[in-house]
Amino acid sequence: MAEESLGTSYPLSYPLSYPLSYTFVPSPKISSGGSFVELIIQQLLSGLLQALVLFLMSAGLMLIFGVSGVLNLAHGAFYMLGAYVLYTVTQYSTTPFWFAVVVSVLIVGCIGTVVEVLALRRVYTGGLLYEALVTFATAIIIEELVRISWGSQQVTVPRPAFLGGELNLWGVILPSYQLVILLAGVLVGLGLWWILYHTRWGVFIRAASMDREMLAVLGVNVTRVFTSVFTIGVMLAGVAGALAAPTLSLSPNMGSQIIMDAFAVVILGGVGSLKGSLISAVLIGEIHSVTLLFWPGIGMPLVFLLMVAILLIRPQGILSERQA
Amino acid sequence: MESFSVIRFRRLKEIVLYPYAKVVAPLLIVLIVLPQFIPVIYIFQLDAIIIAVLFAVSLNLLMGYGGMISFGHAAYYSLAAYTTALLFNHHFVSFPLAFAAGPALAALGAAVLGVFVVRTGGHYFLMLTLAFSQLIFAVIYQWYELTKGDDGIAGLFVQGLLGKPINYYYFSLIVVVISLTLIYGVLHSAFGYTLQAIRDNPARVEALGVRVNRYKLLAFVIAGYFAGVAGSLFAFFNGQVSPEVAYWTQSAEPFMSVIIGGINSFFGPVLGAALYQVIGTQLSRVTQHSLLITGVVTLAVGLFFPRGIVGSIAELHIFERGERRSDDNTTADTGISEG
Amino acid sequence: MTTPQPILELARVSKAFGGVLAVSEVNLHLRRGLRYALVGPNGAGKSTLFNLITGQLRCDAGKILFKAQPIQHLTPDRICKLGIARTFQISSIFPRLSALKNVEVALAIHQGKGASLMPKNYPYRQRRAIDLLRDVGLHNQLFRTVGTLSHGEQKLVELAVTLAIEPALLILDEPTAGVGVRERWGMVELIDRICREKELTLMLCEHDMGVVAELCDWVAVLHRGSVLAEGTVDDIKQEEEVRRVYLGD
Repeated sequence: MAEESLGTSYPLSYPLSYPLSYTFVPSPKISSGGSFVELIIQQLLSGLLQALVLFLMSAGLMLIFGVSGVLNLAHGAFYMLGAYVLYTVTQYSTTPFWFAVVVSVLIVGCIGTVVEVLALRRVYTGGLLYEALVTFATAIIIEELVRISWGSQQVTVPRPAFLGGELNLWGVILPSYQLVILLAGVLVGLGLWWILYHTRWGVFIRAASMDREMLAVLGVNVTRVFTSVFTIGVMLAGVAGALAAPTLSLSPNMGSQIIMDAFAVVILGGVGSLKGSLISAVLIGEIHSVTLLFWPGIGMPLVFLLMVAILLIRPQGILSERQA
Repeated sequence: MESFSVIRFRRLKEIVLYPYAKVVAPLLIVLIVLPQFIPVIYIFQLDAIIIAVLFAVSLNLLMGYGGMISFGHAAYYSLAAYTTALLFNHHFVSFPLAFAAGPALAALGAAVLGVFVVRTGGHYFLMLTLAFSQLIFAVIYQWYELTKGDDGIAGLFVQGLLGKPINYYYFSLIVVVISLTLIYGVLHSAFGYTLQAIRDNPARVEALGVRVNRYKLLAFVIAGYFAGVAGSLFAFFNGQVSPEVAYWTQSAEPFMSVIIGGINSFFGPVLGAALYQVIGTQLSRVTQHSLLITGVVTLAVGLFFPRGIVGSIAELHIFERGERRSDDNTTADTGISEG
Repeated sequence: MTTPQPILELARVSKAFGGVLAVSEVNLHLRRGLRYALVGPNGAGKSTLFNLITGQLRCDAGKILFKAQPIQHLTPDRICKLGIARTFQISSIFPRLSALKNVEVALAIHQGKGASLMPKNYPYRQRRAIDLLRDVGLHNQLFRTVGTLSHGEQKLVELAVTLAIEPALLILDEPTAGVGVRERWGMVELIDRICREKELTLMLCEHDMGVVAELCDWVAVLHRGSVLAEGTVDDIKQEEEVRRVYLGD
């Protein structure tokens, strides 16, 4: 049009950013005389770390999905919250890093509980449309709140000082922080596994994921189970975000970017299979990481194709025993 | 007995069309006449509204009539917008061709995705459509050589007659009215009702002898096509396209419009889209955080008024109708519950 | 004089779920034009058997022949096109459409016009739908949204829908279940009249032996997946086994 146009549809007047990788921007530093093989190993390790973060997040998504039957479209937003809350905590206090992570996770958990009690609770029986609506609206609200509070520009969380070093493993240089994440992720994963399979609450959760109505009939307070499941699931996303935060540049688009991979993990691994989601998280993490070397940007289409393929070939996921 | 049936048919046609005629015709007259008297800025607003209306109605075809809850509708909107923009700007294709190519590509994208995706349902369908839309966003953003990524494609100005905003508005109006009529026709054809039957009870339809997935695929493609029409209209309306048209907040617009307006009717999303646009524009004058507020409003509407505005009104009406004595032969669903 | 081919024949049909044998070596012959009842306590396998016949489930073993053609491997839509129509225990119709539209959709599909975007044939289809609904007594409820109808009326709509595809064999899954006493006999009379007028073969499963006695010529008693006894209603009433199974003597 000749005259000045009204501009883009009104809400989208902020710049969007899209970092190539949503977890790590790997620094392909190879020790002197490094070879191609070492580069590959570097990427594989980096991919493993991406995978772990993805696994933690997806475990939460799967937990909520498997038990309450709700696909939490806001899950990426909680991941993002974990990262941003950590950023703020480290900005304004001098608490030890690990403590900041814990605090962030707890805050995210509280927010999750509030969301569940106020909004989500009404839509468990409403059908897919309302569940999608509530979780989607929550995602948008959270994303906007993040944008308001922290701005649209990317921010970075300073790496905790004592973890700023590097490790030299057989010629491959790995920031020691990434090892810490690896460790923490494994610990959380093990903790989750332990809770699910070795505690009474875990038994309820697994039972609920198989038959919700029975659980109510057995006298268990299903409402409380659903609330706790949502909270824990969301806290897992928060942990993933908090742990990954020092390695990324945070932006308000973080949530929507990672959610697709989280979906892929759930679809590939199958609902209800923790092992399956671990394997598929590793697969997806490595795909993203390795393709960065050869063809940056092909990772996402590849993952998408994988999702479609699995749904065609084996809809219940790689390792799930359930019926599709 | 013969005449009884024929009378029923004639009256059916009348009864179905009459309330729409009462509402639609005056509205059309207003839409045609009003722009002559108002400042340009409001013409822009009207244009934005009718484009959004088409976008929302195309989504409702999928969701309300087809029962397929999708979050990735921006994929087709953006595919069309970018196709049109690229052809027009970078390849110097003429306006009519560029404009027609947009929806064609959108429909193609919908067909390609649809083949794989319509055999799933519920959560998986939701995940895949959302993922696809995010994929399109990523591709647009990252493939700088083709799409100029974050810079977007600007300078989408039509030379000549359609260069004037008011003329482009009339063009949009014609395109949208034709599209809506076509969609209405589709939804009230045998195909449309079979589609609704599939929404209500796919097993039963399958048992009657129907390849359900084919119908869903066709509905998917039609919905994608008309979303594409909206997208191409948007490209020239806006003068530029950027990756935001593929971001999931763009998918949220028609979705929220449908919810606000009501998913169970044809005109619900029309009203919803108009409201959404107007409120959004007014809000964005006052605050930068209009999306937040509309998000909250949609959440509230979804939680407390699940039938949307039109739906809630219709519900009262239908409730009344349903309760009426059964030997009242003059009652007819005006298409609200029939779709 | 040769005996006419049975319209439906089940030969050693079996189906197991996990370790449980739901249907075991069932043999049945249904002659054209007659009315058959399948009775038995809950869990005897009646619905499973119906699902096997109409293709919702696949047999593990055995053959099902409809008009001498094997159908055990066919999909439900194919079986439907061949001429078997079926109602479900919980009315399986389209709750958000009107009664008229429910039947019209079935008619359109039957005519192969389900995907038609054109309004051709529409007056004919509408007239036929109205006739069918009048046959089942719902001519006053044409435009009512089916979801708002009573349970019994919904069953009638379902019946009209099944009649729309002009079946040769009509399978009714507990047609009077949940139907009030007053409506029940109306329904029986209706089914009787319709089967007579349209020369249908009928197979139903029921719990109400009174309905069975009124309506059917032949009864097969199913117990734990196999046919315990077969015969006329009177025969069955005499059978020792049957009484034991039902009354737990």
